[in-house]
Amino acid sequence: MTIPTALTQKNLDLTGERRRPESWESGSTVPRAAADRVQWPAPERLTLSALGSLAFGKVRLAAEHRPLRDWLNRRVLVFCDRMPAALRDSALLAVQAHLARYRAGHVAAFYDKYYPPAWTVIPFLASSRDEVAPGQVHDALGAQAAAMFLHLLDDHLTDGDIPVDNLFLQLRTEVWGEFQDGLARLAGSDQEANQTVESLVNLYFSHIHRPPERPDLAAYETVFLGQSATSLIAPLLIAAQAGYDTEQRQLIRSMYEEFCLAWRILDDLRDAAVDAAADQATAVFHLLPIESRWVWHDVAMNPSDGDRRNALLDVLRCAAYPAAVQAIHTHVTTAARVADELNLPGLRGQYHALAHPLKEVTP
Amino acid sequence: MKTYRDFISDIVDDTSLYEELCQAVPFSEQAQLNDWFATRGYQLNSTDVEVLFANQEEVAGSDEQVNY
Repeated sequence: MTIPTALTQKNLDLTGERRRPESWESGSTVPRAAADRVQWPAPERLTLSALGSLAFGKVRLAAEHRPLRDWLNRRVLVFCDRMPAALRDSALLAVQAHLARYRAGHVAAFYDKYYPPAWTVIPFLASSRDEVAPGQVHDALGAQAAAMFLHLLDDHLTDGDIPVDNLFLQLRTEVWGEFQDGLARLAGSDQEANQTVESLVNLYFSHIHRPPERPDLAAYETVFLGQSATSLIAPLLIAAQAGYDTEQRQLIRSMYEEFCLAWRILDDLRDAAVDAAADQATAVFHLLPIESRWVWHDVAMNPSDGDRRNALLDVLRCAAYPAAVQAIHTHVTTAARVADELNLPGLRGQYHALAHPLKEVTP
Repeated sequence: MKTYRDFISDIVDDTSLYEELCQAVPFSEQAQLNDWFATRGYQLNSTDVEVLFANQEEVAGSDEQVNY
């Protein structure tokens, strides 16, 4: 894959690595030293405070993907640059405040916070078969960056975590425009590609706006996958460009969805104490035995009550935590197996790296 | 003169500038923060300065785990 000259001349030293502290390396959400020690506690050692530190294993980016990560990190600036002049200056600081907890370092490394297979799937697919033009890879990555940003932005907008004001509404409009523009260039006049875009955008909105009931884990996962559908489009379009047939693209879709589900359950596990306090029925709730679910509701009645929190911890240790670990491990190793089936060894390696710390606690 | 947007753009490429900022925090006055950026070629508007100063510990923080 050819990387645009502008991306290579300035940013890289002779080793191909830009100057960046180890702690920011390659898609990790935690500093490298800590990430290398990612350890999941045995169930009997689990604490509520430890939940928030659970993370996938470390993924080291291939050298050829590091400039793409830098390019992705610049997309936040591109989104803000699309804003009308009157809002442009404020937009970046607003993103920094509300989506990066004010951290300048986080907004400059925005996409480092996402586990790499969320976007490396695109260059892995593009370089695996028929030649794909670099411009198309960047169109796909740009659309993917927009989809990932929108997923986060929409989540916070609908939760009321960020103000629904003219700045954020316009920002959402601009990022959606960036998403659509990239997909339109990728799809061109190809009827099948345009149908893929249309059907997955419809799937997204049918699950994000007035989502269906989620009485059990299967329904919960189905709704979540619908809400993630926008991040499937660019990988599927680039797979078509690379020559994957319909059946293979279905496999690529299931591989990506397995990864998304693993991530969803991990995220729910990290937030279990907070979600119980808010009485949110997440994947962890659905993994509790029916006879224990009253504990979840009980915590919501008085989240600061130590006895209720201890009761929650007990049922997490005995049931939901082992079940969640097993589910995460199964989803991510299934993604790895499908990557292997598709002859995508680099992607398979990344999935295995994510699953690595789970090995020791998987029954 | 460059803007705060350019500062973020620059630290995407080279984090040493960001590390400098982390070491300079905390500033006791808004003017000090403004001067830090100005001496490095960045002209911040008054809103930027106000927001960055009010949240300077967070602005320069990097230890917190953030998961999307």
